Amino acid sequence: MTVQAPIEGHNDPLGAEEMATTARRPRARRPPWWLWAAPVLILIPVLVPVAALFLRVLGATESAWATLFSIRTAELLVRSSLLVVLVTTTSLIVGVAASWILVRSNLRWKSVWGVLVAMPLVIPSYVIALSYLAASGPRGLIADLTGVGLPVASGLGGAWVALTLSTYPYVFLITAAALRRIDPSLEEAAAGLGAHTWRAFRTVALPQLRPSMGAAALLVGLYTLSDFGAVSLMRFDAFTRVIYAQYSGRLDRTPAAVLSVVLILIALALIFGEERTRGRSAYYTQRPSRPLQPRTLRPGARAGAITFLGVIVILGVVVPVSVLVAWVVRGASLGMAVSVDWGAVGGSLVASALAAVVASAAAIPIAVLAVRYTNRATRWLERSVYVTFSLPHITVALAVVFFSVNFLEPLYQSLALLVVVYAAIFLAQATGSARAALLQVNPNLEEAARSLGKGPLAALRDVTVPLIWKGLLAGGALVFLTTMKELPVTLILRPTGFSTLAVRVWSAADELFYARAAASALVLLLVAAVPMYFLVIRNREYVS
Amino acid sequence: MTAIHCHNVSRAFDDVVALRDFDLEVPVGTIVSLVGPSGSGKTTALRVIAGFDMPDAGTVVIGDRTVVGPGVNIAPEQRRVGMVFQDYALFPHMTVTGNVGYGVDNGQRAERVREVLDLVGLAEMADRMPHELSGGEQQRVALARALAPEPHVVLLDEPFSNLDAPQREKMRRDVRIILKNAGATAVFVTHDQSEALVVGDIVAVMREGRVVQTGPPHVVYAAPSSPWVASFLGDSVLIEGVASTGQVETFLGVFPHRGREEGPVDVMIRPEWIHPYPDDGGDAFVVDREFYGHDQMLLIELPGGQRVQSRIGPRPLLDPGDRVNLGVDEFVVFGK
Amino acid sequence: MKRVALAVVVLTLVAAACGNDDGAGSIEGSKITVYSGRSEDLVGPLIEQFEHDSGVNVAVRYAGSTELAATILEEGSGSPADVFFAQDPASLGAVALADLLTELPPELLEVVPAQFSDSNGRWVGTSGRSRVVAYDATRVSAADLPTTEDGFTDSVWKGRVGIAPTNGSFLSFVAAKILLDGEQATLDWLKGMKANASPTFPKNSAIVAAVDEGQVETGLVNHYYLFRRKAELSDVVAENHFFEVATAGSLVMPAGAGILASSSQQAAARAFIEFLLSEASQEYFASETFEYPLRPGVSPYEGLPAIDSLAVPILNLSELATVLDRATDLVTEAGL
Repeated sequence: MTVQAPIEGHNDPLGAEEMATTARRPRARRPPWWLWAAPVLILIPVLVPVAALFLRVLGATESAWATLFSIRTAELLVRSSLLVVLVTTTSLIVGVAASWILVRSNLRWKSVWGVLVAMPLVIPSYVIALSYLAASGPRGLIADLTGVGLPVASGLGGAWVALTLSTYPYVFLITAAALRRIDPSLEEAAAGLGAHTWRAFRTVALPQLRPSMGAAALLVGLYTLSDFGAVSLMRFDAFTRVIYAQYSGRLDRTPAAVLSVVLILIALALIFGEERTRGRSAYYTQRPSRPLQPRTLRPGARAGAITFLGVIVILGVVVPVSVLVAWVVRGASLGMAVSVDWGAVGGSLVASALAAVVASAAAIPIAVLAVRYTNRATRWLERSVYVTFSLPHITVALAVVFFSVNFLEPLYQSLALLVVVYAAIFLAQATGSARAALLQVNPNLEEAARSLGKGPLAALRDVTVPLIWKGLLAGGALVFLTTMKELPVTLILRPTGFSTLAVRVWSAADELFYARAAASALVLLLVAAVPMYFLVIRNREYVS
Repeated sequence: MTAIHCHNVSRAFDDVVALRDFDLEVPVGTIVSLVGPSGSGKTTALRVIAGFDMPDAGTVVIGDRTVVGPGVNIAPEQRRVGMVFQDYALFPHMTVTGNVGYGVDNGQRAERVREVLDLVGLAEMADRMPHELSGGEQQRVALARALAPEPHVVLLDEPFSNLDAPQREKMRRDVRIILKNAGATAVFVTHDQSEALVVGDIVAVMREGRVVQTGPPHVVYAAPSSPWVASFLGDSVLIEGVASTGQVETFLGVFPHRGREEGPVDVMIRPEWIHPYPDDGGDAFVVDREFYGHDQMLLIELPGGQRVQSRIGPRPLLDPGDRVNLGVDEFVVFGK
Repeated sequence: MKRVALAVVVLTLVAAACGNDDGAGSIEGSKITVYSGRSEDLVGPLIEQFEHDSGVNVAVRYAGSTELAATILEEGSGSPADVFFAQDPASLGAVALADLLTELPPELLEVVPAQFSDSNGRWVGTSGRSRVVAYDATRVSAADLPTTEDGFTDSVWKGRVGIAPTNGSFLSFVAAKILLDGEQATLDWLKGMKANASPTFPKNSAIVAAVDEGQVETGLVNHYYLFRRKAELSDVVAENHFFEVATAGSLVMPAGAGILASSSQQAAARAFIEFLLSEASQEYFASETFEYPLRPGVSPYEGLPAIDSLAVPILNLSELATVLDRATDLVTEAGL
C-alpha cells in the first residue's frame, strides 16, 4: 500500500525531446511556387551555362586532353596553388593579428583604426596592383621622387602583396566577430594560471578561433584562385590569366573552356573539402558571459601594435590612394588628357545599382525558403547560391558567353544578361544579410498575418519585407560595392559600347597608360566609398 | 452547433508522433481549454486547425466547411481563424491601430478597430507602438487583433505564459470576459491545469497526441477518467483498495461502491475530500502543515504508518502532533 | 596637342569631301556595330569623326583582335557586328575563311596595293606596321645587327634581345614565320631564343622603353612604338632597324577591316571602310599612330623609310589565320 505524492511537474519522458523537435520543426506547408521563381530565374542563366561548359569540354575530349598537356596545366596548378597558399597564409596572419589587437587590447582610437584597417575592402585588387606597378619600376613614382627606381613589382611577389592587401580585411572582419563571441574568462583563467599574453592567445583564443579562421581561409583561397585583375596586371601566370590569354589569344576557344573546367573543379574541391574538414564546430557560437575586458598592453607591445597597424594601413590604403593621386597630378602636369569618362561612371552606377536591386529582390524569396521552409530542396538552393558565388568569375563569364551566343541570342551582349549574371554571382552576399535579418523575425508574425486573412504574398509584403528591410539594404550595398569592382565578367559580357570604371582602369593599365588608369581608379574609389560608408555606419560591430 | 470538429487527426514529425487519432469538438460560443503536459501535441493541434501545419491523416471541419481532409487543404488565410500567439506576435512596425485593423477590410476598418479596442479596454492606446505597451496590454491588443475580423473561432496558444503571476490571474479573467462579451468560440491551449479549469467552459485533456477526457471543468476534475488525468488536473491521493460487491476496502476505511470493479483497485481522493476531525483520542496525527492563508494542507499519518494529504480551510489551525480522526467525502475508483 | 588640332582640321576637310558622296545621305541616322580590335585610344577619335561626318551611329566593341575574331566565329551568321576592324590579318583571315565576310566592292579594294588586302577581296588593309629591331644606339651599331631574325639565336646575342612572346603582333610574326619557313624551323628559332635567355616583356611598348632606358640592348617590335616614345620624351636614344632581307622579321602587317556578310547595314558599313581609307584618315594613321598609310600618295611619318623601299616577304595574309593557334602552341612549347 502506497500513497502517491501529488504530481508536481509532468515528467513526461518525451518532453525534452519534443521541445528539441519543436525548435527545428519544419513548416509543414509547402512554399508557394512563386517563391522559387526569382531564385531559379537568376541562377539558371549561370548554372546552366556552367553545366554546358562541362558538356562542351567533354564533347571535345581528345583535343581537350591535348590542350591540358600543351599548356602545361600542371605548372599552372603549381603556380596558382603556390599563390593561394602564400596569400592565405599572410592574409591570415595579418588579419588575425589586426583583429586581436582591435578587439582585445586597450589601444586608443580603436574605431578609427577599425575603419582604416577594413578600408582596402573598397579598393579592387587590380587597383592595388596598379598602384604598386605605378610606384615601382624605373619610370615609376618612386624613381621620379627619389631618383632611385625600385625593381618593377610584378610576378609572384607583386601578386602576393596585392592580393594579401586585398584579402586580409575579410579575415579581419570574420575573426574580429569571432573573437568578440569568445568568452574572455577562459583567456583570463589561462592568464591567472601564469600564461603570458602570447601563450594565452595561442593556447586558448587561437583554438577557439580555428573554425572562423577556416572559413576566412576558404574565402581568401577562393578569392585568390579567382582573382583576375591583380594577377593579370602583375603578369603572374595564374589560372585566370592564362584562361583569359587563351580566350583572347586563340581562335579556338576549347583551351579556355578546358582550363575553366579545371579551375571550377579546383574551386569546388576547395569548398567541399573545407565543408568536410569543418565538421560541426564552425556552426557553434557562444555568447560571451559578460562584456570584454580589454587587455592592457605594455608600452613596448603598444608601440609594436601601433606600428603594425600603421604599416598595414599605409600599404593597403595610403600607398594606393596617394600613388593614384600622384599619377593623376603628374599626368595632368605633363599635359596628358586625364579626364573622367562619364560614360564609364554611368555604366558602373547603372550596372551596379541594377545588380544590387535584382540581387536584393531575389534574396527575399531565397531567405524565406531557407529560413521558413527548410528542407532538402531549399538546402540545395542555398548551396547553389554559395557555389555560384565561389565560381571563378572568368569561368562564369566564358560559360555564359558560350551559352548565350548559341542558345540565348536575344540576351547575348545585353545589359539584362550582364545584370543577371552579376546578381547571380553576388547573390550570396544579398542572401547572407537577408537571411540574418529574417532569422530575427518571429515566424509567428507571418502566421498572424495569414490568420488575419492575408495570403502569403501579402504577408511577405506587409510584414516580412518591412522587417528585413535594413538587412536587404545592407546586402544591396555590398552587392553594389562588389559589382563596382568586378572585372572579368564585365570585360567579357558587357554590351557593345558599354563601359565601366573597372574596365577603364584595367584597359588603361594594361596599355601602360597609368595616369589615365589612375584617374578612373580614383573615381571608382569615390563611388565605392558611398556604400562602404553606409555599411560601416550600419554595421558598427565591425569596429567595436 | 459545432464550430470546430477534428476527427482522427494524426501528425508525426520524423519519428516523433505529435497527434494520433486526435478528436475534438468545439461547440459554437464556448471556450475549450486544451490542456496537457508539454509534448502532448496541444500546439500541433492548434496549428493544424489554423492551417499552419498539415496533418498526415484525418479531417478538420470549421463551421460547415471541411478545411483539411482527403483532397482538401484550405489555406490559413481562408479559414477565418483568429490566432493569439504565446509571444503575441504583434507587428512591431505598426501601431496598435495598424495591428488591430490589419485583418479588417478597408471600409469598416476605423469603426471596427474602435469597437474592438473598446472591448479590450485599450481605446486610448490606439496610436502606441507595440514596444510601448506592457505585457498585459500587448496581450489585449493581440486578442483584439484576432477578434477584429470576426473569425469563426479564436485560437489562443499559451497566451499567459509570458506574464508574471499577478498579471496572469487578472488576464485569465479578463480574457474570459472579453471572449464571452464578444460571443466568440475559442480554443485555449495551456499546460497549466488551473488555468484550463478557470478559463474553459469545457476542458479537453491531452496526453501523447490524443484527447483522453472532455467535459465541463468541475466534472473532469471530480470524475477523472484515469489516475493520470486525476493527478494531472490537481493534487490527488492515490491509495490501493480491494473492491467487492457494493464496497471498497482501504486503509482509510470501507467505502460504498457502485461500480463493477472487483478485486484490487486504485482509489483516488482529492485532499480537500479528506476531513480531519481534531480528537485527542484519534488514531491518526498531523505530521506537517503548509499554511496558505485561504487554506492549509496537512500531511497526516495513519496508525499503519501510511500518510495522506488533506486540504482544509484556515480554521481550525492544526499543528504537527495534533491527533485527528479522518472522514472522506468523495472518492473515485479505478480498476487496475 | 598641336598634332591633335591638326588632325581635327584635316578630318574636317575630309568630312566636307565625304559630304559630297552620293551614299552618305541615305545612311544618315542608321546604326552600325563595329568590333574593333584596335584600341579606343588609337581609333576612338577617328570613329567619333566618322559619326560626326556621316550621321551614322557607331557602337564599338573594343577587345583584342583574336578575341573578336573568335567571338564572330562563335556568333556565326547571328553576329551583331557589321564591321570587323582588326589589328592583324590573321584575325580577319579567320573570319574570312569561315565565309562570314562579304566581298568588298572593287572601288574600296583598289585604294590600297593588293598585297595588303585579302586575295579574295573580303577585307582591305587600312594601315601597316613593319616588324623592326629596336636597338640602343649608344651601345649597339646598326651594322652589327644580324640580317634576319635568325641571327639572334646566335650565342653572341645571349640575353640581349627583348621579345614579347604572348603579344598579338609577335604571334602574328610567328605565324608568318611558320608559313614562310615551316613549323620545325619556327620551333627551332623559338627554342633558340629561349636558350638565349632573351628577356621577355608583356608588350612592345615595354620593350622599347627598356631598350631606351638601357635595360636591354635590342628588341623585336613594331616600328611605331619608338615614334610614340619620341612624341612624349625628348632624349630618346633607341632607334629602329629594318631588316633588309625579306623574312617574317621584316613583315609589314596590315591592320584591316571587312564587312560581315550577315550585316543588314551594308551601305553604312561600306561608308565606314571608305572613311578609313580616305586621305584624311590615312593622314591620321600616319601622324597620330605612326603607322604606314596604305593609300598611295599619303606619306608616312617623317623619318620612316617609304613602304615600297622595305623588304616585304610575299605572303597570302589571310592564310595566317590557319596557323595562328599553332603559333601560340609553338611559343608555349618552346617555353616562352
